[in-house]
Amino acid sequence: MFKLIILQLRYTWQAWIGALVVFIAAGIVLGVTMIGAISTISVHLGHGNYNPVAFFATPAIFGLITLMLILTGITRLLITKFKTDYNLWAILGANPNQLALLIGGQMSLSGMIGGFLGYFLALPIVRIYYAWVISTPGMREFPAIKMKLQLSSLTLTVLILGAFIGITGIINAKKVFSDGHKIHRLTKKRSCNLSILGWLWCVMVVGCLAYVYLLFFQGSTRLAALFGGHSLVETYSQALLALIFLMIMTINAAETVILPGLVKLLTLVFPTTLIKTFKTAYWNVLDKKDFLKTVAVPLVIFSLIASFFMYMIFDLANVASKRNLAEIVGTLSLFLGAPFLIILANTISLTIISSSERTTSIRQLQLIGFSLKDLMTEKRIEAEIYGLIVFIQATIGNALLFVPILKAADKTHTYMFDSWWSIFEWPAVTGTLVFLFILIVDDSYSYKIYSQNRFNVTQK
Amino acid sequence: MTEKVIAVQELSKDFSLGKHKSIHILKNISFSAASNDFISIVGPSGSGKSTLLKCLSGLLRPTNGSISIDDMDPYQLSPSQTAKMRRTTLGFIFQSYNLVPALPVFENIVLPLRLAGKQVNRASVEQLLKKLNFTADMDSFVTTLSGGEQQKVAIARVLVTHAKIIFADEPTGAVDANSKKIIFDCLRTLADNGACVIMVTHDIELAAMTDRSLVLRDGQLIKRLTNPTASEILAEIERG
Repeated sequence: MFKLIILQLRYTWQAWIGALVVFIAAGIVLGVTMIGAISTISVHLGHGNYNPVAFFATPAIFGLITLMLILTGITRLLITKFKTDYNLWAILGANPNQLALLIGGQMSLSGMIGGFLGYFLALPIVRIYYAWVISTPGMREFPAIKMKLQLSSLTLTVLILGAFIGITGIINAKKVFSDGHKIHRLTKKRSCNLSILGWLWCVMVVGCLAYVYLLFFQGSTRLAALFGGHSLVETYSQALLALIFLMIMTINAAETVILPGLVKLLTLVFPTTLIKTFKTAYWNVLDKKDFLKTVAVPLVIFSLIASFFMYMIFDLANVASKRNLAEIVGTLSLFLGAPFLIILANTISLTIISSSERTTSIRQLQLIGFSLKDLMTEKRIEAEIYGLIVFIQATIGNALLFVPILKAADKTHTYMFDSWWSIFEWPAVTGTLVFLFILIVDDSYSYKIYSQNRFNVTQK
Repeated sequence: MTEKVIAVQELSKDFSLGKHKSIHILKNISFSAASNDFISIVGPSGSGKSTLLKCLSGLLRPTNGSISIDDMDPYQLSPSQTAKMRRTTLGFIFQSYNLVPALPVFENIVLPLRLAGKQVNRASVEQLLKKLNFTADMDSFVTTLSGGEQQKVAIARVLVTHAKIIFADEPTGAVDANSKKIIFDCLRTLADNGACVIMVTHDIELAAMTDRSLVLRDGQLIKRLTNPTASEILAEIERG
């Protein structure tokens, strides 16, 4: 099987370059952790209240959780890209386990390459970051350690990342390949691409979310009974943490229902009759549901988590009034830096992986008479739809989160620095990011293809 | 002694054309096939030949009716059982060759064996290819081969697995006359040696050299011909 994995990877290596971007980003995150932790352990400073090993473990934990979430989308897109090939493997007798191993094996090897490259990129980052940490008030107690390249940290980065990506890839691929065979009533996909079990799961998660949400509007005793905690602040912190987890689970479970619905709702906002290419853009977005989901979900979740941390640090924990800005930035970057880097790399990866579909779509539009201006407008509207979807969904999520935050502040007698306007901050950042990124990539593709075709026609 | 390996009962296939519309591609088709049978499926374009072959081979679930392959319903098997059946019992030869582009010739031929965890003997594959008059290098990639050579690789892949039932969809559709003869002779030999070969073809001459012809029109099985002649097949196809 290993030989078959190598041969398949050699044939499909160009598609893996796209995925490599996200694997390198994960390699940087894990490299930072490994270089920091192994450098600390090798000088016997991995102990005490200011233990750098625990400090360096944080980005890896948050980074790997994010990676696990986004790998589902990447695996699905890569399988779709080579679906003819994998169908053929299945016709020739490969079972879902063998197909999953074929995908997981390729992902693992690419992950190892990403880990290797990311490790070397991590060295300057960890040196600069740690130098800044030990010179920042509140974190000066951390010991001074010389961060260095070591064979053990390199090997661990490469092996851990390869194994993590490989195993996650196998699990995701097994699910995709088994989905195709599902004939059972409960697991067969029905309306909105959800099975009966999927719908039941969705209802259950939404039910739990609604239950916890409503508890914030009642007395704190019921919350305390459910979440415990030695103080009111602790009870509300735990309840809010549970709420954010349930919100993330809801977004993940219900995305196939929410996203197409939101895209359709946008037709009410856009002046569809005034923009002649709107309908084309609209159907193009709806047609690429996998891409929409894989781009939107991680960004919406990131926006939600980022807002949550901001509210916790600036408002509920009142850290802002007790600590200086550098320390807050340090704390935020420790928790959010790794997920942000990986989610950003994910957007780049997805755009590269889906480049051939983009090229085909642009060529088709050009063939039926779209001018360069029409193409650019159509692609701009597509980018606007993607950006708006992320913005709207993240804003709704933030609004839903902000109400219990206000309740918690009220019950714990905490002064809120953030107003209702804050619910737009992270959604605006993530929405603009996705809009700009897709616009730049699509416009450059459109221009390149248009110029090539014009040149070809002139040559003839 | 021959053994019934395929049984089809009242098979129908509809394709959905939106929420409340559908198109009937196959209508109530019933027949059976045994080992040593070489059956051709013929009919005008759009008559449902390839759809029938896909339904028979477990690649396309029929809307109604039942199919039994080697006493098993391919649509009731688990994914692993389906894979095992495809590796051990079935062979596929398609007009588009269905070769894995990532793999060289040798690996394409032995892929089902590798997936089944069986021993691979390079010398016997070399011998097999020699018999098929295959001239290219075994380590070359399949995308660099001519249509005829690619089809020989696909046939060699079926031969190494000793498949009991072989489904061929226009196997000679994109090859030269010489390769066409070699490919057909190969299928004939397979049937004579105990396999059941079911071939979809537009080629009346080839169909006339099979044991039985099933003539399809508008998704219906309109005629079964035993030891058919070219003129008989042509007459049935052209009958309005």
